[in-house]
Amino acid sequence: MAVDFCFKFPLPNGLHARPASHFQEITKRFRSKVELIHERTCYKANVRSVLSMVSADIKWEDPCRVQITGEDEQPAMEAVRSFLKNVLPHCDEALPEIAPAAAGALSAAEAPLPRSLKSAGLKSYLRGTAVSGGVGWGDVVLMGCVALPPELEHETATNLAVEQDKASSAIAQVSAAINAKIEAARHRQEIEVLKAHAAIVGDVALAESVAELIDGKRRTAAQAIVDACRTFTDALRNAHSAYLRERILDIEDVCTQLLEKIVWPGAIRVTPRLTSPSICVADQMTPGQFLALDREHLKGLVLSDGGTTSHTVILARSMNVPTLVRVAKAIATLRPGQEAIVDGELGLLVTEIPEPVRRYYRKERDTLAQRRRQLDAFRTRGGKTTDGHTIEVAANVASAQEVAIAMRGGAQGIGLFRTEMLFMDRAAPPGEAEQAEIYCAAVTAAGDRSVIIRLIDIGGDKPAPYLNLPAEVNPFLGYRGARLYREFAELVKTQLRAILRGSVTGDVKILVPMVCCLEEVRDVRQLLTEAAEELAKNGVKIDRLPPLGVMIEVPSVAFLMPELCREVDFFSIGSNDLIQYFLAADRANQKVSNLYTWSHPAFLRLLKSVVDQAKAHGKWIGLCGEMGDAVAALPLLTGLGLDEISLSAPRLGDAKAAINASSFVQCRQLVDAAINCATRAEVESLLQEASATSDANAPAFSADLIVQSDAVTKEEVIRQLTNTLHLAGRVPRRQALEEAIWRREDTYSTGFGHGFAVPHCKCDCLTANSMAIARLATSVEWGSMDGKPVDVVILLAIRPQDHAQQHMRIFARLSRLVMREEFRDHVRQTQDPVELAAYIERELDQRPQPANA
Amino acid sequence: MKIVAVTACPTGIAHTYMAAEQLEKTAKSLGHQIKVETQGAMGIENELSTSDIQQSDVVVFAVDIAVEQPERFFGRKLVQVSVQDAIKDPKGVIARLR
Repeated sequence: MAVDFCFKFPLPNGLHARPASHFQEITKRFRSKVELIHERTCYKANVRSVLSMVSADIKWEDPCRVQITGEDEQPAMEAVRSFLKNVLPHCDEALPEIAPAAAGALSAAEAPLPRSLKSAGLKSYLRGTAVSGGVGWGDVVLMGCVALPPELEHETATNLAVEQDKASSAIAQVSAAINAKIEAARHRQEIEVLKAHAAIVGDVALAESVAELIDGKRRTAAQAIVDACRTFTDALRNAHSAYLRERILDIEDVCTQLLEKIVWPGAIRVTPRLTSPSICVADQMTPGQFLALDREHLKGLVLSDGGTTSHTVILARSMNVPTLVRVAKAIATLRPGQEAIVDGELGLLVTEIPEPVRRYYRKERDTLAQRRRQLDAFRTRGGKTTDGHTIEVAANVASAQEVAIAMRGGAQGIGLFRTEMLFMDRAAPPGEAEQAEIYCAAVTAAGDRSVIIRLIDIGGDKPAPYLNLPAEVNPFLGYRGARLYREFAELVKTQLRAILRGSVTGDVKILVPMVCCLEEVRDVRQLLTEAAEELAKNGVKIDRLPPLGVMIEVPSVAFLMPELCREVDFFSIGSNDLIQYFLAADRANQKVSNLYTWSHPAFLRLLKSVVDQAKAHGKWIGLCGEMGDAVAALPLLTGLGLDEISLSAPRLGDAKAAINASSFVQCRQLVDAAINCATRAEVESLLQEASATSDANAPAFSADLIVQSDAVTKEEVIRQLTNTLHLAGRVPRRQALEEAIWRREDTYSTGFGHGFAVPHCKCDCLTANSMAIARLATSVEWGSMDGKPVDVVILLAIRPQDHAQQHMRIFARLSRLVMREEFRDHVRQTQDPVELAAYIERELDQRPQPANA
Repeated sequence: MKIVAVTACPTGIAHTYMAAEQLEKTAKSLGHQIKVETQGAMGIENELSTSDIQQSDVVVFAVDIAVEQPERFFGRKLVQVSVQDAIKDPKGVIARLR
């Protein structure tokens, strides 16, 4: 007779010492046996033992079962259920808000902060969504807000006529200045922006509004301008179209210029020139503004608003600028000039930096920089598995400037050149010459590598106003991509002619977006032929038309492959939209964004089908969506047999490193296993297993895992050791390891005296069983058994999956060795890590000889 | 004294073996005979046989979790301590066995 109860573990920090001790408390009243079973690992924990429960390694959302056996099992179960429902969920301290899952991430974003950061006393920070990684450090620069200093804000207007004069004079001067700039301007982008500004300053409504505010409300000229600015921008803030919302910045820009004519320039927040390491903060930012910022001094970017796929974000990512979006109230809470840190790993904007936090981030910066340098080693290499299978690793770009950056970063080609940005933010579409210049520049920067240029992919949500696209209730399923080409044939032909011109200077391919049927392909072929003819008439002869391919993003294409293979030259899978259309879930809609995932087995079957069919017909097929950015997905993409994956430039190193460490045969097996899964959870756990076992035979220990440490707290030491393993490629997700170590450490200290500590854990986030040693320059308090501080710390970390006897034996042997004074002295005194590693190897090799009775 | 012991810590990676090492070293230095069975992540090692146990004067459990196959020890003189005790104060633990 036993009673059972199943539940999912509710605490984000997992089952650690504190909730476990609460749980244990309630069993004291009963006599029955109470077990807590981790359903996945089958580990049975005795609920009467806190240590036993903590050893179960139960994490957030793990399926668990409580089993109670005994004479009082019924009342015991009732008490347990009540506890699980009412007490357990509140056992932890209040947790920070969980950010929405990052696209391409395998699991939900880790909300809890690393132990080492919490203990460093991090108090003042804002949370956001990290869209570009790294750590940025600098002084806050607030952008785009128009406001007056207090003394001017409250000034009373004495002479209204004088104020009117000031206002109209300012308008006239600024208007003249802008027009003069238009005359002198060289760059087309700049001219477009200036023309928009001229339109605003000359706007009748602006002048009237200002005049009315002065006369009717007795405002000073400066106040009237600020008020009018706010009225217009407020109205725009509620606009549905992002394009219109971005015009807010233009209005503010103009009003700033007007204010400069009336008050002294220092009084207003202007769009700044960066002169020192800066963190730029804005409500939103246009790509043009971003590109205008001084790259050398721009250390981080914070946007209160902003989606994760906006073009500004895409640019920031490709240029390795740590960026956060959706940081609520950023502008309101920050002061210009204050020091701040953008943490693009955890999604934090740190606004107060006490010394321990400073130390933490300095270490973070160093670790990330070191990791980047390691990945840099892959720059000149291609994507090639250990058993010789090649897959091209290319980059996605949105401008010609990015091409050079991508090639320098080791891209083997440009898998996607998004051309929308050339068409947005302007009053009229770019002409043939302007586009040709850009495409030629891109092709030249790519050298002899291929550049896949995607035709204009615009829709109701990001209109170019000159297209006059109607507002739609459902732009996502509406008039976008290739569907526009019939109506805007001339526009498309202009682009095609420009692309053809570019194709003369290098290897160009043309990609058609949003194709759902064969007719669309035939239409584009026709336009392409006509474009070539038109060029020929102008004396530009195109010997060979560039290959024409289609994006696979509308699911219908998956069932049209044989026909398409007869009429197109290649394919590129646009995973972002394909997943959204296939699973009917909007990734930007927080209510359903959790459904958006590439790990859904049905989606993997779709991919396999599409790739198999393409290959069966001898067609090249690549992937250019964000799925390529996810390291966890790479084994699947490799195993599918794709010819190429194209991702954002900063991800190139990680991708090549992962591919070059994998075996194609195993990747193929992984794909076969994954498509037979029933749920995404099964797929994800399969992938995690696979990533772990691939390094099963890596030695647990090597000289590069012995480090000198200047850490001053236990938290810093543990953090440093996890970084060491991370840099050795043994743990992709550091925080999971850090938390696992602390789970054990919290139970009771691993400092056993003699100045030594042996923190240890089981963690499935490791790719290889590992041992690392830190020798501390200063002794650190460890809560040791003898009350004394510690100067040598040995970390033992093992994966639970494969009870690798070989490594466990090493750890067991090591545990015995540290009890011996001679061994400890050696570890302390041997300076050279290589020599020490050799000594330890020798000692470990000797067979353990426990004494017999 | 003939001592048999079992060490077992929850994670089974380090302290199980550290306790075993301490008990072995200390008991031997005090002139006793000792055989220590470890119950760790590798399972049971140096398993105590029926005759080991029958011939012993006392059984020591230096454990933080339940011992596997505890029925072997039923009826024997048993002293139970925590793993920490065995590591920190092995002499004290041995003293308690008399």
